[in-house]
Amino acid sequence: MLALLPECENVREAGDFVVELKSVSKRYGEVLAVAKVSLGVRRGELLCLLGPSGCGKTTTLRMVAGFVEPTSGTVSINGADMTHQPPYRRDTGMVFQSYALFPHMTVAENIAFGLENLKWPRDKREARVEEMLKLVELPHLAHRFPSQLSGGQQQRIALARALAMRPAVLLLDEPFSNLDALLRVRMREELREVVRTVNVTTLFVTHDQEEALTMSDRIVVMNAGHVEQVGTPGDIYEAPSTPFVARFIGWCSLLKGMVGPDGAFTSSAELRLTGNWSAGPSTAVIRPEHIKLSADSAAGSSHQARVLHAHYYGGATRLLLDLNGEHLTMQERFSFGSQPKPGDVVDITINTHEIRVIPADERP
Amino acid sequence: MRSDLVDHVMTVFGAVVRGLVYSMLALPAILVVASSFTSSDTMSFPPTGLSLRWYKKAFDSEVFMSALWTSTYVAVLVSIIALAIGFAAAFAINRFSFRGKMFLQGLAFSPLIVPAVVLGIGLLQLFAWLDLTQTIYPLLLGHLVLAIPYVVRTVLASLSLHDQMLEQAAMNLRATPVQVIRRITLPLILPGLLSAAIFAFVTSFGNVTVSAFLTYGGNVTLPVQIFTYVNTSYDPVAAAVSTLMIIVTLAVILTVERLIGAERLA
Ligand SMILES: Nc1ncnc2c1ncn2[C@@H]1O[C@H](COP(=O)(O)OP(=O)(O)OP(=O)(O)O)[C@@H](O)[C@H]1O
Ligand SMILES: [Mg+2]
Repeated sequence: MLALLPECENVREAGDFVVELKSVSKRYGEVLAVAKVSLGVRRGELLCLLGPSGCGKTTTLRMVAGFVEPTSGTVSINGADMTHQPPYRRDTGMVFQSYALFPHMTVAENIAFGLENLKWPRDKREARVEEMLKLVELPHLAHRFPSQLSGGQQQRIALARALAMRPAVLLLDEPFSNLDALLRVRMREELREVVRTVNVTTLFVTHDQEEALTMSDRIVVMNAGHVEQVGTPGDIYEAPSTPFVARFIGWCSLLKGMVGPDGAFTSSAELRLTGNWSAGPSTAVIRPEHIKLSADSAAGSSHQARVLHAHYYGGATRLLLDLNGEHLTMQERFSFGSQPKPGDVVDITINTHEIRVIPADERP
Repeated sequence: MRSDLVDHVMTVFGAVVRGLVYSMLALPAILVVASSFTSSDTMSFPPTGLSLRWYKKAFDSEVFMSALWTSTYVAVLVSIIALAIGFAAAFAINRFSFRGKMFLQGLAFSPLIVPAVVLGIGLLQLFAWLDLTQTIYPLLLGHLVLAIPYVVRTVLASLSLHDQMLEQAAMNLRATPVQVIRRITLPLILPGLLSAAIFAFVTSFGNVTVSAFLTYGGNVTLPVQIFTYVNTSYDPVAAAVSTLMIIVTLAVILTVERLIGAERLA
């Protein structure tokens, strides 16, 4: 689209970001729904906005699509400033949570709708509709109405409709939340595959960490309107940069404490973990897999802990341990009948090489 | 056992009450239709003899036929204009928050509160002052004022049930606001629009109170004509003309309902 190139400087500056938000905020009266969010979606990647309910994911996505106008900051798509452009001038394709298929149009008419507005000639339109139906593997449904489709089928048609226009960026807002658990996992894989096939840049919103971890190239973790961390799923899980991210992604125990001049961490309940961290008030993030039962209680870094709860859930058991007043969670597979009971004392080893200690002042 | 009996009595009682209410509602129409086929010279029930002579007389009557034409013509025009204005008002009230929204809403509903006689006298004075009493405009405007509140209410109801996500989806698919209204909003609220049109038509077509003030020699509406006629003579031609009115009204309603049904099937 020609409209996308009003200022050449912008294009150069944008590098290879298809979507770029610069210090974008949105205020609804007293509520600051999005607070100075800056992020870029790289060409061809699948970027996920992840965060708890009400943290501003939908608002952020809708500012990219143009349904919400930012209170401040700029939104650019393919290097062109789109901050004040209406949705129909933006090169985005959106899949709505409720799919929003037009009930008075057939599947084929739904998919052709965007192409008609873009003034594609009829023959190209028809070919494209056929191609999209093939992509989502539903060519036999072209003449059905949306009400005659299952939830999963509607979802795929909504995806086909959004992709038909070859948008610069595909936007999805919790697209799987209306599907049952099994279908959700299947659709997740399908979406990943379709997105890879057409190689479209994608911005995806979810509050489901598993969805984010399995699908994304990169994840933006949001909390109360601001960005907590941006990184690959591995970064986010293994090296959370804030206690919030650590707690939000996966299981973990957070210990507040202090790193001394020797680099060792001492929790407020006097649990000492030796390491080489930088001194100052800190939080230690201990994941269940960082704790092992030690066979030999004489081993160096081992501790004695009392079992508070034992939850068996098929295969493994999750133990809540009390260690000098600190509560830790670990996970272990026990042979049948040998599972510890609440009150038992066990010997554990904490793998201090893998745990992460976050300085308290890392975030303002 | 006891409650079964009570249930049964209540059911029968309910059916009887319903039957009574329906027949009370339909009775006047039935009486009129029945007496229009009489062969005697006065309107009476039960009719004596059976003939179509009063229909022949009605069709031959210049005054009644031109009044029927005036009524139909005015009612169709009123439906179209009321629909356009009513949709615009309802859309604005439903979608936007603006200064004076409450005022517009109140204004749209106010004719429902003002007694029709007051409205008639007021409009008569207004048009006398404007020197427009010898035109069709007083009648059109009077009926529009009566019809628009019904249209606004009906369209507002369909708009509030309408899923605005669909419009956003259309806009994301590059449809401009005008295209969105034409291709998404209007088709989806069509049933509501058509029932609004029926309301407008029936309101205009059957009105006497306001019309009585606003008609002049050249364009008397049918209800006013019947009213005047019955004041002076009591022959069954009035019944025949009234039956024609019922037929036109039913025809309009049925046609529109067919349209809705057809749209739903498509
Ligand atoms: N139109 C609006 N008017 C007022 N407040 C709003 C509006 N839209 C969103 N908010 C507020 O902004 C905040 C962020 O909302 P948003 O919908 O972006 O959250 P979310 O991260 O998508 O949450 P969820 O996971 O529940 O969908 C919330 O506190 C919400 O109440
Ligand atoms: Mg949301």
